[in-house]
Amino acid sequence: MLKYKTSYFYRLASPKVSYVLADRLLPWIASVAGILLLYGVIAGLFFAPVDYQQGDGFRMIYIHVPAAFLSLAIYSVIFISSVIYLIWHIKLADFCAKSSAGIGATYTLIALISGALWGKPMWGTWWIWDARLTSELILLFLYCGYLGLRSAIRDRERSAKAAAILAIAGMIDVPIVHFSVEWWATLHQGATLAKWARPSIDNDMLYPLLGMIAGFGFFYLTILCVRLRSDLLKREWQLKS
Amino acid sequence: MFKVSALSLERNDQKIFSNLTFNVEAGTLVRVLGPNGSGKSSLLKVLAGLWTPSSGTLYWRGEPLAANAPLFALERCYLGHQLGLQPALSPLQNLTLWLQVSGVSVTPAKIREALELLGLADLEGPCENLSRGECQRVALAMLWLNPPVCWILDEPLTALDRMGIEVVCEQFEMHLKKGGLIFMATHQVFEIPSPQAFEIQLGEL
Amino acid sequence: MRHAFWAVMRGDITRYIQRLSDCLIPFLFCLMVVSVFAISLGQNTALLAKVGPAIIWIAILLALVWSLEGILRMDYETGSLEKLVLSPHPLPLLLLAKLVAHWLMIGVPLLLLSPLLAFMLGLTNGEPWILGITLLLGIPLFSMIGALGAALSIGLPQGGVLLAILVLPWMLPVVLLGTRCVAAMSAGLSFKPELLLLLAMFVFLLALGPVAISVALKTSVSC
Repeated sequence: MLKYKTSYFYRLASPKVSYVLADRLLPWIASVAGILLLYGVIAGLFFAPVDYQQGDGFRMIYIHVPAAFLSLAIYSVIFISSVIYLIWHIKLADFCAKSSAGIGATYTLIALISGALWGKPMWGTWWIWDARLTSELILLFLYCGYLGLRSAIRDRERSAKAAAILAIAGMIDVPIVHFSVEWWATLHQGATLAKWARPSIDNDMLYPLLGMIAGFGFFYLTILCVRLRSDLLKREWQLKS
Repeated sequence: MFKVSALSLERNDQKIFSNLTFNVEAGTLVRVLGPNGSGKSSLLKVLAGLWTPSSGTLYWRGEPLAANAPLFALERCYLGHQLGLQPALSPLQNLTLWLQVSGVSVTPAKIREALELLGLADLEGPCENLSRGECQRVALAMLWLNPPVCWILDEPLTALDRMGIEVVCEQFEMHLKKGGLIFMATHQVFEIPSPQAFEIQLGEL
Repeated sequence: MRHAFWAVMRGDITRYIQRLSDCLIPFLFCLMVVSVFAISLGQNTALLAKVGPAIIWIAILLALVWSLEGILRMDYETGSLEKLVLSPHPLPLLLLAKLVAHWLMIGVPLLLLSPLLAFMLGLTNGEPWILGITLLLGIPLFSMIGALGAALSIGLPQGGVLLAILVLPWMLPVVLLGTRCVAAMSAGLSFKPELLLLLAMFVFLLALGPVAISVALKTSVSC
């Protein structure tokens, strides 16, 4: 039974099957992403009640929180794909990691910039060196390092394996950085009383937020499908020529 | 002794060689021939265990290489294009270092003897001051100080002069007589009398 | 196995001794970086003392990582790395020998240099001592993390800069702990917890580091 299951898994990961799958799923995923994002944006911008503390400014949450959450989630996807690639040498896992890195880095950048834009009017400062923000910045560096290494190595197998090792080492690093910055910041507690905490939240505000998070997630899956298709096509073309 | 079944290698989506199968016994000289860029060095690297093939299995003394790796590591010696000599160390220091790393203990006297055999006895300075031919001789000296069974050599005779080639061919002959195995990629034509010899011709896919 | 370990270590130390002038370069680099900071912030002694430890950490970090990258690159180009990978002895052990040689010949001089650097930046009240102790643990840590980055990016044209980008996120916890140690000392608090954490990281990396580096090296050499 196990043998049947693992062979099914390998078959699923073959280029032809995954191309067809990506092709078929793409319109559905894209539509779901579109609907969720539309709902999130409209409900969040127009229908969610005004926050008593921050006024209309709190609406930045609908961009900032999904981007931040997804940036870490996508890095976890890269981590898991890297582990799968190193252990089972499934090329699809490598494609997945490679294609996710770009959009993960973009989400991280969006999170950092939207956070800064939110922080200035709300808490009076563009940036603070507390655990959460520093970890997000380090995550951006990890993404950039990953993308840099992948593009610097010309050989395909070496690029895939080296990037996989890098991703695994980076994933171990993220909680350590978070913890050590938190610990480091407590020594300077006097200066950093302002905390960019997520506000405790009303249902009318929560549902659009969940919608946006899911929307960002499905958008990521859409981009992943598109890039997977084009990567597979490119590889087939290179094989033929 | 060394068996290969359905070996194939693919790099960057390019097939380098595919479906290679052979079985060599002790005392065989295997020449790997082919035009430039046909994958001779790649094949030798796969045989040495440096590169993993895309598919196929290698067997050493009847066991698959994956299971037999430590034994194979002790019994094989690979000499690539880059000779693996530290430029800052002298020939004697280099040989001492690499013999220890390969798991062999050899006295300095024996090393000097081997260097003398190759005409390098009076070279004390660092290897970066030696010519490519002299460096090649130092690298080859490791072959007969370290008694491995399987020699995998990538163009071992390119920079040697006629005398050097003669000495080295003698050593090859002795090794084959003792039941050793030699895989060699070379462009040069020379005669080594050996009980068995065969050729692998690459570049015809 | 012991013989191979000592042989590799001896071989590397001989190389460093033959190229003593190359060993001076990390030394000079640290001196220059610290001098630049000392000169440009010279008037503001309080600020200088505050950022001092971090500057010294970063200077030593870069010096170590770049010198290690140079050694590994030379080994890669001469084919010595292939010989190490093909050796019947475990690769992590041989790599540990190389790292130990690097610590002895480049790490220890930098460690001995640190009191001078601390003095140049106006650190007082026993801070140089704490800095020295944290560096005693930090330098091997930097070496191992740098070696992992170097093993991944070996032979690439972008070389040193890419390596610095790869390695910086991993170095951050070590640098933070080290500077916090010194800051705690100067604030009169106990620095034991941070020091113990550094020790824990050191032990953890000593056990896993060579293994990870050998996996990365095998990847880079086999392609």
